[in-house]
Amino acid sequence: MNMKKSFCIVWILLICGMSIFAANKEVSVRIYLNKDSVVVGEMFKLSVEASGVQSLDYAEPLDFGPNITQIRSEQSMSSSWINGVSSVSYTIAYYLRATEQGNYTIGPFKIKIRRDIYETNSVEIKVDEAGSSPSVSSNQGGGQQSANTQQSGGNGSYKAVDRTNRNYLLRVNADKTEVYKNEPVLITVDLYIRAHVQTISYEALKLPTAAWTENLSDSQNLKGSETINGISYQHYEIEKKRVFISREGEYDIPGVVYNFHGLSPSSFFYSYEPMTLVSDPIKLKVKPLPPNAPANYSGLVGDFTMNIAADKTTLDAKDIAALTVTIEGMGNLHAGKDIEYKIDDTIDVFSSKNSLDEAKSGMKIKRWEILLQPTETGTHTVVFPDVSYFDVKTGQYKVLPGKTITLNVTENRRKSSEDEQSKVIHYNEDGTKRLNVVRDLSDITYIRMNVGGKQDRLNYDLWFNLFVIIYIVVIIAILLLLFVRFIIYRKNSDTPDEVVRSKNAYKVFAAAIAKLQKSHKSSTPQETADTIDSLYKILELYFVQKFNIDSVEFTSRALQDKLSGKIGQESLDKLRDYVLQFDMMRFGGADSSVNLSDLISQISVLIREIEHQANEKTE
Amino acid sequence: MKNRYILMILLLMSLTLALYAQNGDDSAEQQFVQAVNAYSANDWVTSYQRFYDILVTHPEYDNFEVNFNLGSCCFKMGRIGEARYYFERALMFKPFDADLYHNLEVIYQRIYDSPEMGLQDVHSKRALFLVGRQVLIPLLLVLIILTVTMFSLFYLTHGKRGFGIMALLFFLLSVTGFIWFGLQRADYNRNVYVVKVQQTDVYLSPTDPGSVLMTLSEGAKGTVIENTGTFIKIRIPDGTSGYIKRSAVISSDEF
Repeated sequence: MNMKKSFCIVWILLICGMSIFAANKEVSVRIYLNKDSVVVGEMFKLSVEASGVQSLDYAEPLDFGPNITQIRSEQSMSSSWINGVSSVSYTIAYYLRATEQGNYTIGPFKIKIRRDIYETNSVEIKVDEAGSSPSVSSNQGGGQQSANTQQSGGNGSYKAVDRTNRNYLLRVNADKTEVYKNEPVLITVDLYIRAHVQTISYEALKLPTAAWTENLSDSQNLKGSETINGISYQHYEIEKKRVFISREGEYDIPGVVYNFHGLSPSSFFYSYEPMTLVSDPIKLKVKPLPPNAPANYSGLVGDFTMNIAADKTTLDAKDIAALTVTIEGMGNLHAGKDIEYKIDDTIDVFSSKNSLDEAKSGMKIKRWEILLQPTETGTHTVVFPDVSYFDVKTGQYKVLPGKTITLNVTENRRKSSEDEQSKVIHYNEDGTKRLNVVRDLSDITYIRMNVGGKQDRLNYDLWFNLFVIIYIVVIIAILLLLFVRFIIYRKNSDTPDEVVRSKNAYKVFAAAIAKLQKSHKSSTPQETADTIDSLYKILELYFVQKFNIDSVEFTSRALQDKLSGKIGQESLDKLRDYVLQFDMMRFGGADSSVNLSDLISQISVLIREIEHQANEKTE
Repeated sequence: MKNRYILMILLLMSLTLALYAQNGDDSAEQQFVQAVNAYSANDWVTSYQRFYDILVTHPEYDNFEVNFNLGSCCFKMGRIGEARYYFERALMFKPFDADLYHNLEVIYQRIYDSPEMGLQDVHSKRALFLVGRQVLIPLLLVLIILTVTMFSLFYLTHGKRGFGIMALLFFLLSVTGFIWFGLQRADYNRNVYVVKVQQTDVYLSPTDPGSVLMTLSEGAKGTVIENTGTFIKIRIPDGTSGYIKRSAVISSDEF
């Protein structure tokens, strides 16, 4: 504990002592630059240093001048103890950039330290156009070296940050340095890197005012890896432009400036520091076109082809013919005049439109589509004149031949569906003819003349929803019915099962006897016996269900015992008589005039009478 | 006596409704006549505008005739994509119309250089709209009523086998009818798009103009997934989705 206390006290005393020492030290201020000459757009550092103090303030606002802009600033403090002499200093660094070329003086600045005002020295810096400065710029005040090292001369040379830093290269390339007026020049700005870049600031190409520019930059600017002087780099395309200069002369296109924070090649640790890549300017010589231009020359420069076509040359009066003129090739098609053509007064121009497209190869296609409508029958001509252009490859004027299109206009009549078919004769391999009927698909049929029916009452959504509701209601109703019938009714019914069976006995009997009447056969004694057995079973089931008895035997005495009192005596006697006749029929003693079917029918009538009597009794 | 009064009231109501409906139809019919006259005078632009106005102001006239004529106007103006859209819409109302079939062949010839390429759509529409909704709706209604009646009769007469058969028949017929009707309804309401400009790009993201997935030509058709302001999200042929400029297409949600 005592050890810790002692350590803290020593530190506090040391800091206080340094502060008192610093306060008593002599104060001096100065400013300095890290470069004495830069190009337009290149970043440089201005340091304001106050020795013997730990902070400073400005007596008046800083003014770097109208052509120098501040990018950012940073502060630092340093202290040292050399040979028993201590020193402390406070520095504010400003990163600046000049926007115009010239010689500039920065400072002096008035600095307020405690209650005193100090004045700094002033510094001078020379600002040149990009690429025009000497290849190496010197340092000042021990600042960091920043130089442009030319690796190879002329357009397209790779520019490095300095001789020792090959991590970053910049190249501006023009595919031609000498062109004719309005001839396209392709200019690309490429960056090659081996390490990350941060805090990028880029001054784009400054092109002459007489130039028509087409931006060809791709959204995907990483173009893969490339090996330069045996070193592999990532290749980025920063700018790609096609330039057409419309006035002859010599042009200097200033180099581009690429400021960034890059990996320091000298640092043992990975550290990033401000760097600048500056490209050479591009010298372009624009030559005038030769004087012997054709009379119809309209300013096209490049290499072109022309095609003129009509979708049909035979048509009905008031029908539409579409003529298409296409000029395609590499050159200044954007500057070409509209196509001119001569037509008869009897042809109306329905519409005329043009479009300019560009293929990925850079080839341009300009297309005119002209819809013509002849109003009179006969032969009409549409004359497209020649188009001339200057061919940069041969250095001569060339002519794209025009064309005369003849339209044969016949009387307007609506073709019948049979007429719309045309016959095409093909020849088979053996030389025989084969007739194919081909439909004419060049035009549509005529429109409908009446307005048609309304659809409001047959709305899909309405009807679909209605059907869904009906369906759901029907399903619910059926389920409800079944539920009531078989669950609730069964559960809550007070009626005993035997009563229900008694009520339903006749229905069961009627259905069974009807079936027996249809199906019975009595051609053999065995079949007769089988039918009588079936009848007895039906009758027994009826009496068991109807009168809740356990069984019935079809003998005279058994019937008397079981059914006496339950059915009328007259009915009982009839039943006994019928049973007797059935027995005689079974054993072969029956009268031949008695028919089995008739007996079954009489039994049905008897049972109906018994049912009727039972119902009357119940009521 | 009482029945007579009810009959008279019903008659008056019907008459009023009929007169009201007649008044509503006048302007649509007038617009139609103006459109046909403009077409006859080869003024396709005016004709198209009149037919289009009918669809906008009288949506109940979204029928075969108006769609057919709109397609014809678009064709005459060289707007092949829009012509395809309207002709295919007309197909839902009269799938077996010979003139319409011919016009669609002409359109597919222009778009695909071969009419067969697009006729698959026509055949599927014919199968789906074989029975038009004018017939299908009453048919389905009668079928349901008839089946339910028979179902009830068999239930009441305790015919167990008949009851089962009728129940099965009821479910089968009603489910088949609903599926057919549902498919028709879904196809009728399906939000489709057709490219109406010469070429347009499909983007992966509507906010990134560099994210071009593919380019569609005039007449290309597909399904709209959703509308997102100036862009619409579409289903593209490989099954994934992309965004296309709304101004470059004609789609069902315009009406």
